[in-house]
Amino acid sequence: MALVAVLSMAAYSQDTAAPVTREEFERQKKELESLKAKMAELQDKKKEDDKKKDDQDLQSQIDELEKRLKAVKDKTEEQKPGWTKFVITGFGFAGFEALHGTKSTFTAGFNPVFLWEPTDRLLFEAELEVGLENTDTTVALEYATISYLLNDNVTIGVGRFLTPFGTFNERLHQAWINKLPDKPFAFDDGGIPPEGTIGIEIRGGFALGETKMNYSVYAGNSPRLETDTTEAGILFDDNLTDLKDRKTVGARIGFLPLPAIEIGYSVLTGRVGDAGTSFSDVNTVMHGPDLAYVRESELLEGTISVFGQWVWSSVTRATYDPAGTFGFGPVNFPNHRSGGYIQVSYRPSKLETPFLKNLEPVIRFDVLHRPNQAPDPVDDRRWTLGLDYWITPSTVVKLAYEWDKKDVPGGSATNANGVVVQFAIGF
Amino acid sequence: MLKYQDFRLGAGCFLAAAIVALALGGCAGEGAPRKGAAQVWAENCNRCHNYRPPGEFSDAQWEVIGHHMRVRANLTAKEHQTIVEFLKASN
Repeated sequence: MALVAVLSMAAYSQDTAAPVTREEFERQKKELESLKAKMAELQDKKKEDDKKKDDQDLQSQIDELEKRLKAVKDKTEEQKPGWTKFVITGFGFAGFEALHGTKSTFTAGFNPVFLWEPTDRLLFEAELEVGLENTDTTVALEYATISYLLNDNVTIGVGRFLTPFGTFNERLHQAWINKLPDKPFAFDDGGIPPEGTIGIEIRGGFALGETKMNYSVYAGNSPRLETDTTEAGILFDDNLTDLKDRKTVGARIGFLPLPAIEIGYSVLTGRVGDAGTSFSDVNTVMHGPDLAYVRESELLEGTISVFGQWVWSSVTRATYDPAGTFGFGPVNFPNHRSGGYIQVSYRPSKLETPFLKNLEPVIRFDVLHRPNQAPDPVDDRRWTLGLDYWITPSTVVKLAYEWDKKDVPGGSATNANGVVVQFAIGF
Repeated sequence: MLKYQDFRLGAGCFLAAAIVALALGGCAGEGAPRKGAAQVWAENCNRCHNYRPPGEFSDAQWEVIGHHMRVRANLTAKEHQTIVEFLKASN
């Protein structure tokens, strides 16, 4: 402004073209210097005001940020977990089966798994099996185990655990893992090895050069020998309270000559007859191999999986229903059973086409041989052809057709062929 | 047909072998050559089921699930540690 005024005055002086006296010049010069000083003062003041305003704005922004940070901190503190860790995982499924000789039915189940890790060495794990059976909703405790990592190669567990007999029962039966909608006869309810054991187990794995071995050794309540129904001679794992002092012992050893291959062998032996009954001396021994081969192949553009397991079982000969009280006796028979399965599947997971890469065809053969003179002497031989579609790595739709031939000694063979569908999700 | 006593003997031998193997395992340590973490993860998890994406669980959850799988699949301590660290790093 001052500069404009001075220039205007100079321009005016030029326009008037009147001579300027020395005094006038000096006076105007002083005024100019005064105006310059005034302008500098105003500029300094303006700068100071601007700085103050900036400082105030900055401070208010800092205050706002601190307020928000405190809110976030408070929220985080509220949700901060303790030093123990807890996870709920598991799986659920729904399905439909239409098999010859039985009424078609829809099915559903829910198996939550609770994992609690109080320390790096301690783990509690439990699984509930919630299912539907006739008119009831059933709840069963699949396992509830407290395990402790003793060292790099040894873990000790106590409680109810999945019996480490082969691999199907422990690692492959879960609906989101099992590639077919049902289990092989020999490892299903009424099969041969007990699904669960209440007792103590010691297990672990260790490297041997470029190979690896793993082991499980356990002792627990013996399976219960069924004596009073047409299922006489079958062993069940529902002996939640043991009725004898002699316990079952068992072990499995697995060997991995290559990472893609695991070969195992399992044994189990124990007294199964209840103390104080005519079956008190009845024992069982069972043993069998298992195999797993899973390989991702660039050549095959996918993954090929082969699983197999076999079991032989022997139970001491005994007379069931000796007085005919239960309507099927007396029967006395050599109680030898055997069964197993082999399953092959292929998933072209390396193909580009999303639909095709999620398909997995599966074929399985399974068999269960029962004693010929047993009250329920049916032999099952079953082929199953399935097709899975993997929606996510743990969500699958399974469609299968089964050819199940049931042989009865001296009788005609029947079949339970049919379709089984299952939608399973692991979470 | 083998008798119960024979099987008891066999089972005893098997258990003894297991204990010897256990002791050997403790001495053997981790003698296998070093592998990439992704390879260890792929080889062990895929043996039973499809890979679960690392982002499916939080780091803290992977620690618990890793512990659970170490027990269930008889993983070695080294495999367990490598897999959990890999999943956490990929999360």
